[in-house]
Amino acid sequence: MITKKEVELASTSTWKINATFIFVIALIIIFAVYPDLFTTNVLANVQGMNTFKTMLISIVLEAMPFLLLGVIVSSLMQVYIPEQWIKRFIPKNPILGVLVASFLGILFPVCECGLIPVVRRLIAKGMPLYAGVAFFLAGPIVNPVVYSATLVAFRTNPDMVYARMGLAVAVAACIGLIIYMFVKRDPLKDSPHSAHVQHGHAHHSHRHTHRTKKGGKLQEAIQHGGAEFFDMGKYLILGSFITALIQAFIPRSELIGIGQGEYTSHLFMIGFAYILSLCSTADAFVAASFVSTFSAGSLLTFLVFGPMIDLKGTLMLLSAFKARFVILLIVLVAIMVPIGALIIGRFYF
Amino acid sequence: MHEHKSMGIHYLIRAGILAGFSFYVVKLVKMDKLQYYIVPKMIPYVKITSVVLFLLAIYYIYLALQGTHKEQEAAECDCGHAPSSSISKNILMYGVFIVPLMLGFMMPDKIMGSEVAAVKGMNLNASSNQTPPMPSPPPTPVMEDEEQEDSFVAIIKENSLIPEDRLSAIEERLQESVAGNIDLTDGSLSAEDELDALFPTDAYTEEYGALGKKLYQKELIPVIEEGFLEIITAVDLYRQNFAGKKLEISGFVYREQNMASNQFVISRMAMTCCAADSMPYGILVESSRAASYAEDAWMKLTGIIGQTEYDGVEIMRLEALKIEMIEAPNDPYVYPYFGDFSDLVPE
Repeated sequence: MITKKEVELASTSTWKINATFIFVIALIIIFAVYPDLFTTNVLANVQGMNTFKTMLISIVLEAMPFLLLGVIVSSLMQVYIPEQWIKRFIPKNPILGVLVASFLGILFPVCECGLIPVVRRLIAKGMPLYAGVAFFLAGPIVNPVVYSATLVAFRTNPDMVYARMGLAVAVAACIGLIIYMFVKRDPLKDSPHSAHVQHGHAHHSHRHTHRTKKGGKLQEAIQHGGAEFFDMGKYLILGSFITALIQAFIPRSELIGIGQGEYTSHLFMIGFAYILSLCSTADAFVAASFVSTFSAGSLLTFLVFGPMIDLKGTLMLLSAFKARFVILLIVLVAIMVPIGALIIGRFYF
Repeated sequence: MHEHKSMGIHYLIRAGILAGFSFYVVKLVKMDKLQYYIVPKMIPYVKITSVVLFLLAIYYIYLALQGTHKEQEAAECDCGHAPSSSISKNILMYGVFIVPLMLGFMMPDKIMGSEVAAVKGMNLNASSNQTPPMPSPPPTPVMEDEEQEDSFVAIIKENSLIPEDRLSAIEERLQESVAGNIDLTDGSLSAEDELDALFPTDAYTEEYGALGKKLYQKELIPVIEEGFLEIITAVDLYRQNFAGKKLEISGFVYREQNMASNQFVISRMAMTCCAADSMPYGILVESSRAASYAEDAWMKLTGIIGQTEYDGVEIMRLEALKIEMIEAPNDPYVYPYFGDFSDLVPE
């Protein structure tokens, strides 16, 4: 029996659907005809504003495919890959495990925008924490894309490529082992294990009934993907914002004036790599432009530290891990990379 | 009940944001401006991304339009990602996505030019990228004839790429020429040896030396867009050899405050992945009509290669012979060249 209320509800929802579709289709048509519709010159006249906008849009556009890829891989893993699988893949021995993880980037060559969602999922699914950390520290550097980009940027100094790869693996493996020895608590924030409990609902039972009812594993993956896209995307864009601000309003020459001494140059390069937040495929070319003003050792610091930890990445890490753990990681990387680069610079360059 | 209703709003906002990004990419593609922001190699991936985002947007609209009872199921699937209940937090979160979209749609797409170059710092010394300060030989300073010959010999001796016997032959020749006995250009020395002497290389600059030798044989050196960085690096590295030769280049006009009134820089932005990592490269130009060219104006210029000092650094300089104003190219940036250098010089 249909009550009056239900009829009303049905008619309002039909109306809503129609209105939404008309709105969307109208918008598409308007855009197809006048893609420049909303463009004004009001903001464009502000000094530096154009540069800021160009930087921001370019960083977001550049990172978006990687983020999406990371999110898709992570969601598919969440739904389709059984936990035992991952546990079997990484060797039990921590030293071997850390080394294998350091070279995983060769199989999955994306920068940290794509790696962090994947690593978070891998750890939640049972990959040992130390291996996950080694993977996302070394992954953005030790992969074929970055290898060839660095080689082209340092055409005249190929030692830099090997030094970069070697130092990245060494640092990632060391930090992985330190974490194996000292970090015992689960550092994942809102980890899918705890999330079910935290939100109070009986998620587990619902999820299973839901899955059988709809048979939609794919739909579950899309749900996860969409939510994770927004989860990670907000940090990514926030990081891009700050980076774009710095790039647009602080002249690089002023930054470079800060430190060029033997040790200060390493510290400077850490800060510089951190705030620039460049993709690991591109930073080699930026580093190459400093060859005449900075020592090779400090450039190595820039090339290894930047892809491991930068502003954009820190924010994304904070979305996946607890703040204390992220700080621990940053401190470890910031200590080990310059020391390694100093040693390599002293003996090999 | 209230909670589920707000979930519908979340879905609609998310759909709007995703569709917004998707439309923005479509807009840039339609206006042929996507290459202002990212490297052409990345464009297909960005296009695929926009399609996926659009599909996700449709999925969210579908979720939002479904009745509350279905929404409930979907919401519970969101384990670990449940949106915050605080309104200000939500505004902040979605604002982060909406602001770049608004900037993108509302501000005109401009080619990066002088404003960006000024912030990033113009690079007038392309070869400095390739000559690290410590290990490799220092660039030859300008010297009197005699000293210069000597320094060539020293450089040739230093590097191991030329066999010993040929090295001594060259040295002999050079000494004779210094003594005024023979003219180096009389052809008695094989052309190859002569070139080797002019383009000393070490293991690191070998490729640039080879490129330099090929360019050296040209009457007019065309700085083609494909190998922009590599060609100006090779020319800059051996700029003494190229002095007096003609070079053709196109780019935009850039000025710094401490440049003389007859000087400006012809420049290009070099991009690797996206605008954030781009770097301006340029050559100082001297022309009596320099003041009449507006900043960011695009031109095709032919000039004679020379040297000058700017800000205490020895740099390459072009003396303008012919300047032709042009439209900014559709793809205004240059990119690092990943291929073989020898393909950069047409035979």
